[in-house]
Amino acid sequence: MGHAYSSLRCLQYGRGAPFSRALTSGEEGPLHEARHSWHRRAAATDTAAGRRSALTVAGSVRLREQSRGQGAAATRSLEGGTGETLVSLHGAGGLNPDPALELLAAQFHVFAPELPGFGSSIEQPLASFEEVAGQVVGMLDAHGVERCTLVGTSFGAIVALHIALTEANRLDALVLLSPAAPRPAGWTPPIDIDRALFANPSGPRPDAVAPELAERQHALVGRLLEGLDEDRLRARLPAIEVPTLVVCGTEDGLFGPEQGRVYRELMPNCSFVLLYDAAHELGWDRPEALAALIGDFATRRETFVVGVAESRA
Amino acid sequence: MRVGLWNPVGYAAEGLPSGWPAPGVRWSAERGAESLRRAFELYDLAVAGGFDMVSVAEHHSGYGSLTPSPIVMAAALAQRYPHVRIGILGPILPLTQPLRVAEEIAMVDLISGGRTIVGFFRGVPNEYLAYGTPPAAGGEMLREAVALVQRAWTEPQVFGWEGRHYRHRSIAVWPRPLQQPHPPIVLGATSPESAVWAGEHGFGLGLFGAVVAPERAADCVAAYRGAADGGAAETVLYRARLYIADSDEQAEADIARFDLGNSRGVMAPEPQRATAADRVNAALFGPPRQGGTTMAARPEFAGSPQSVLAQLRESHARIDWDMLDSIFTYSNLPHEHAHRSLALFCEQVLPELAATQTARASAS
Repeated sequence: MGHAYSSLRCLQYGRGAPFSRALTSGEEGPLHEARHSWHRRAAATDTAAGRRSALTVAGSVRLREQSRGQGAAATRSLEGGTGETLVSLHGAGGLNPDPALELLAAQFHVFAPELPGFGSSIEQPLASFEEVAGQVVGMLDAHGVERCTLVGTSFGAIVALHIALTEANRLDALVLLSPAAPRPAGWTPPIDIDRALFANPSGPRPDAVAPELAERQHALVGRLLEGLDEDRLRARLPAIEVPTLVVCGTEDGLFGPEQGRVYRELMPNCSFVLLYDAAHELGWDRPEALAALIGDFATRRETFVVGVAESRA
Repeated sequence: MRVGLWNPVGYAAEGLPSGWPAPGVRWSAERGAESLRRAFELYDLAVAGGFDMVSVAEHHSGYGSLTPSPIVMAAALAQRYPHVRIGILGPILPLTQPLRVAEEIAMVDLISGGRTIVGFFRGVPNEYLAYGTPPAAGGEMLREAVALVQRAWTEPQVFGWEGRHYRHRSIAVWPRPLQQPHPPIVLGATSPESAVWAGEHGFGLGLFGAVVAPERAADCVAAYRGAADGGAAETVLYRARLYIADSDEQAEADIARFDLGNSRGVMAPEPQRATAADRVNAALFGPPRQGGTTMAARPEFAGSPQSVLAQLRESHARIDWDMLDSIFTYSNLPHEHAHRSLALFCEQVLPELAATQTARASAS
């Protein structure tokens, strides 16, 4: 597979100064306002990495950072909320939770581990998604997660698929957000990276990743993706019977909104939803809508297609 | 250049008090039947006279138009006129269920053998009273609904839609249109910015002469042509009102006598309810704005057949439209006058326009 995965450098962000944009209120339509009455506000917080200006959506729960083990076995994760467990696997940019994840923590027990080889973890000779998936399963075991809804974003969606291939019996549901494979035939990287990732040109952005860290993560992502046999992955999709939701943004400029189609076509229990007016970074462009969608699917799974009566007394 | 006839199918309301919305007590089956008879008479005349298209639009709750569902009318036109284009210009997507509209247009496209042209417009603000749609969200809803309809016509897999205004979890529109990937879509514009947006996204451009003055229309078309890719989807539809009499003097006298160009008959409240209606209109439209959209006070093209021919040639050269979607009916104009006006167009104007086009085509 000689595709230009090296261009996935764009997922490392590195846009310089931390973002400091506050969202304006009223981003969602009346449908969402009526259901959630959520209002957005900007908030400032302190982290170990230094002061940053962070986005908080009212109704969300801030995730706490945790570390386990030491040395090569050290793992970092974010956790928060109570309820059924929802495990989130981050994208190629690293562990940098979007506002949707913090909204989900108001409804679920959210556990977001840092994938092996990312962030503060020591560089590891990981060569395949199977290896990464195996290590994540080990982290779930160590954390006492027996069953969960597994959510994977972009690169993380490929890891989630590999977990589903071996651990289907412990997954209540699988959610693939802007999955990074299989790429459309003849895929070439977008010219305007920011526009490919974000539909709102002035919306919030994740924190920048330090250059040396971005370089190391980039090398790992490139190596794993180059080694991914997409035809084999495609051939294995029909075996995944876990209720699955795949979500793509209508403005996704990285892989296109049609990326999710193949899952709906090949998996026996997959729903495909287009998130309108969102690009590749669904949870940054439309956090409330994405969290409500994931929450509904995690609760009702494939029956989420059935309308819910909202009659007036 | 091609020519279509838009007929709003106005109610035969002679002698009735005016006012919008019209109360049901003013409905009579005989007048309703007569209204349809007159509408088909004009459509028949236009098709026999060489028009390329017959078209319908969506308007609600009054004498002005009896086609609140333009798609139902389009299905009837498709059966009656087997060789012309069927203009569904157009359903007001924010008012109803866009997926239902997608299904019904696909049906008419099949019924008509792939002859539909579709226009998606925002609609006149008072239409938003029909089903209680918030008018302030109309533009945003229209843009999302067009994206949803296009996707529903083309997406090969069952899919869900998590929109800002529309939420669906299981979309599978059947039938699909006969024209692939879908019928030509025209979007309305009143500014060069919105015309550019239509061009960049592969839509046709619709301009209403009554609300977009000629110089602005020309700017819109120039901007649109610059943004469009020159493919089959690039088309400019110009909707305009015409009135033709035997002489310029007669036409001017009729315009004054029948108050042509006055659209208040379609939208004005009954006089005794005017104060309440003013407040409703303020809530619908917002406070009156400088430079806001207002209807021109007279037909865009009027006079003798020779004058109207000259006006149309001048307009075509200036604005560069591809298709004229013409209106020959007015709320106060007796049917006989509308019929005469259209007959003069068919006999003396349309053949000359066609000859112009043929001469130009053979010259190039």
